[in-house]
Amino acid sequence: MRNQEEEYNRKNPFTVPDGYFETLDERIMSRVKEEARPSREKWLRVMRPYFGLAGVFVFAMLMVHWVLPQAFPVKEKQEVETVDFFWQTLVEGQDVEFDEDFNPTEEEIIEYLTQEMETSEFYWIAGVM
Amino acid sequence: MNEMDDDEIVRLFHSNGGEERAFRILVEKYNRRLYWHIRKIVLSHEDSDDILQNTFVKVWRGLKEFRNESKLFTWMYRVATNEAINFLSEKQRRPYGNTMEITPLLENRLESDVFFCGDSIQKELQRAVLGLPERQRLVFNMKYFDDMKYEDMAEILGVAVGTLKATYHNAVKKIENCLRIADALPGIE
Repeated sequence: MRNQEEEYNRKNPFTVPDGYFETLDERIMSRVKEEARPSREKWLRVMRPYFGLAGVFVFAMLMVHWVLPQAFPVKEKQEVETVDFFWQTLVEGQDVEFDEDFNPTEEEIIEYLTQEMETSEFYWIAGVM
Repeated sequence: MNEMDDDEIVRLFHSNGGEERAFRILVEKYNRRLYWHIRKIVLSHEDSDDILQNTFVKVWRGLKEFRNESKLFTWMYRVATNEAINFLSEKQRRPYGNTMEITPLLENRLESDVFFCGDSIQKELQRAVLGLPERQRLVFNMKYFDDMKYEDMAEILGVAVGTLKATYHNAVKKIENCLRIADALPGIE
């Protein structure tokens, strides 16, 4: 056995840092113990960065849906005003009171609108609606 | 102190509460042999250390299902060999499915290795070994440096004994041609 080791050492041109093999057993054992930890603990350790990412995502969503609309409310109001303005111009000068039995079908409304409006105007309304 | 044989280690590992003790005995028994086997394949000490630890983690996991269908020693060598070869394959891989030659990388490592203590002839031998195809290099290292039996090598590499003998013979011929100093090398047959 000793001769075999000597023969091996004679052929082996490589070395290792001082004390490497003295601490190797312990390092391997601690790495293996780490692997053998209960799976729940390991699962939490593996998932921790993903929980962090999820937290950042939730925070970003809160900012977009709650904080930002409160901080910059003007834009939304402008849109509402635009729609109101559109209805005002649409019905301006027209009698908007209809008879109780006035109940046109969808086809009748479309036919009316296509006759009364320019095509581009019609599509614009459709886009706003 | 008498070394516990592999069957006893496996039995102790499977006994109630004996896992850790058995594994510690296993690590003490094989850490050096597996380290040097890996080191011959990847050359760098740091990479060998990482691969050795990964190997033992896999052995720990696999030992729970190990039922003495093969020798423990050859099975562990197989795990270590696969880990080291996979490591080199990863090193070879480049973006868009390209690969790079591993030999120049290993030659650079050999030249800059601060843990190489051999003389110029041994360095020449290592260079010549690096010039061999991967399978021949593996077989040469296992036979020449580790002095392993062909039967064990056959079990580790999954190749017939006759093929291994031919592979080793071809590897030695190539190295002799490369060096032309085979007489100066200890133990080449």
